[in-house]
Amino acid sequence: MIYLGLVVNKDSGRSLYLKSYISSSWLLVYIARIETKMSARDSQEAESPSPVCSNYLGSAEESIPAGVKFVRSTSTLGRKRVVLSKSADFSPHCGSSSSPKKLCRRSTMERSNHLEALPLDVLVKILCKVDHSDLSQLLLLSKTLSQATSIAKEMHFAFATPISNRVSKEDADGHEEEAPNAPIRHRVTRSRLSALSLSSITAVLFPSRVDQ
Amino acid sequence: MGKTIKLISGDGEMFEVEEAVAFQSNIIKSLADEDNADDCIPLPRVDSQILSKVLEFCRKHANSPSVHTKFAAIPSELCPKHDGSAAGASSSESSSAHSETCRACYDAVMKLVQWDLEFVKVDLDLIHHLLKAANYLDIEDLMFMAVEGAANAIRGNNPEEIRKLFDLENDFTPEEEKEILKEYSWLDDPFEP
Repeated sequence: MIYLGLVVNKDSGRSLYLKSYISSSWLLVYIARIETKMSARDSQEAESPSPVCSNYLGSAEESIPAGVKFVRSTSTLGRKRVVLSKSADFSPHCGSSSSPKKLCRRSTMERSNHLEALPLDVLVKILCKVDHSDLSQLLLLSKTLSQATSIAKEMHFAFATPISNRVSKEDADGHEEEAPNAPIRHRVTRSRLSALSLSSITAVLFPSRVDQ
Repeated sequence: MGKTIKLISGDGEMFEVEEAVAFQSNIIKSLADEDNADDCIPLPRVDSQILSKVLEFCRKHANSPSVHTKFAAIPSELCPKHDGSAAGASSSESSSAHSETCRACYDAVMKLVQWDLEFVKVDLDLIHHLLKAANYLDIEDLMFMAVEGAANAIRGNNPEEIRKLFDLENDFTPEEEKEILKEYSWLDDPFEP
């Protein structure tokens, strides 16, 4: 997480992209750690990820056909050089370790189970873009989603300001939105000025077009 | 340079694209750098339909740097207004200084972002395939946009709708559900002190 503090964003408009880029690389490290723990638990089905994940940050480039590929990439963020590692494909490992029962149930891949077929890191990336208010619902949807949501929460939402949706929701009544936890007003004070007393000093600036 | 790369999709169709287009994908780039004498790169996991969509995206992004993930800095040589007039190597510092002030670069980036947003307004099946392809081929920009497209479908929907869209099954027992509700009850009102 050190790199998060070091990078200085020059333009706030671009900081969103930078943040997602930085967090995605550390996301993979985080998930790798979680998956080593998970695979230690169900060792029967999962292939052991520890040789794969242990040389995560230090591996040189090596290619395994149609399997996991480590690519060392450097990128320039602002004025700092950041060395990152990314893993190309987590899906064979993820599918087996997260829910062995589910795989037996869904034997035919023709069923389009979108989210669950995705590797965990991709799923977390998607969930990072969801609003704060949707998080609590996502936790209850399914086990894989719940796991991904908790990861997203720790990686991203713990550091992001919730965007208030109150303006966008349909409050077409026109009455003012009440502030949360506002003190209860027992006596609403009325304005001491009355329109009659003001008429001598007021003038209509924008006459209405309605013919009266 | 007119060097082209040949890609073979999972169902045997061949696509020939320029290097700049194909090298949007880090996997293709590193595979091509190795000793591939015949320049033919097989991509068994990607269908031809998906691959053509992916290549459409890559063609659009071929001439501008990664706008979504890296610092959106267009080097002076690529700027549509200052064609060829800027001299010197495009270090990140000079290019970032350039694109911060250059209106034409900013407009180009914005147009590209708009195009991308339209690109992902497709049905979920296609987004799912695009996600897998972008993950497999390691194309950062496509990954970013496909993730955005998928998140658009999730944002603001009820749990039932999300379950229907993504074909999820509720595998929680009632006890587990209660546990989670209790643990995360603070999530419902993030503004509470």
